[in-house]
Amino acid sequence: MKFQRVNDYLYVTLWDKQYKRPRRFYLGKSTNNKLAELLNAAEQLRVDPEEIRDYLERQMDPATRLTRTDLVVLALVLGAWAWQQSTDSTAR
Amino acid sequence: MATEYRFYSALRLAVRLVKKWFPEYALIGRFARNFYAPPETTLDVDFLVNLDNYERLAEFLEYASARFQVSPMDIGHWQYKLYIKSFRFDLVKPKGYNYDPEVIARRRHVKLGPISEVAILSPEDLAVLYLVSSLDRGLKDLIKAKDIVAYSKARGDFNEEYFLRKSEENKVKHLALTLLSSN
Repeated sequence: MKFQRVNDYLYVTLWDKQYKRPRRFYLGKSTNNKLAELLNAAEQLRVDPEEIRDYLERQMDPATRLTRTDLVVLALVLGAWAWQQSTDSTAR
Repeated sequence: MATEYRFYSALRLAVRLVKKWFPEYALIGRFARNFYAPPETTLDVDFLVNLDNYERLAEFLEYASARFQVSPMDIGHWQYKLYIKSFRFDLVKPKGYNYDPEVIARRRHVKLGPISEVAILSPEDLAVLYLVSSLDRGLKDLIKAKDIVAYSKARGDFNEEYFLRKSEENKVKHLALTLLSSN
């Protein structure tokens, strides 16, 4: 990833794996450029291979190759329940 | 669990209601993301629908508000909240996202408990939607996009070429390319 400042404007050049060539993207004004910060953050993001292995072995339904639906529903029921508890205690 | 039964009952009502007015709906947000990556707790279920059709939206609001709590009640918003059996369902059309017929055709239809099926945005389209919303909401939505890409690739369920094409159409290709390069 290569940033370029031209006058007051910022650009980034990335390898476009769709067209197999470098490509320059316009990011906006260079002062306080949030998009550049977001791109830097995106470059740092990693998912731990151990967590991926654990997900495939324990949380994925081999029949659908999606997350087990009981876990998906549980995540919502627990979230809604916790929110309900917190609003109830605030009301008290 | 009683809460779980109540949720299925609420979701069945919500899906039936939304489908009647917006047959093109797709589930999005964290509830949809949880089908493609390790589940995280969430408070609500988000429906992506075409809120730009004001006539249909007005009819929906009139019908839904007679049965459930709905807000706001006037047209022209990008988000509407619907409460059924104390569960919250949001109808949304995020700004800057192009919900086109190709995206609708690629929805996943998933059987969910006693509900016959629900439609979920495909992993590629959901990741693009998170990239679009990260422009406003920042890093937390970028992380969700990354999770969907990484875990879906691990499941052998991610079309990179389609993802890049849709990212380009939605003007977030730079983010998509950077996410893919950090895998």
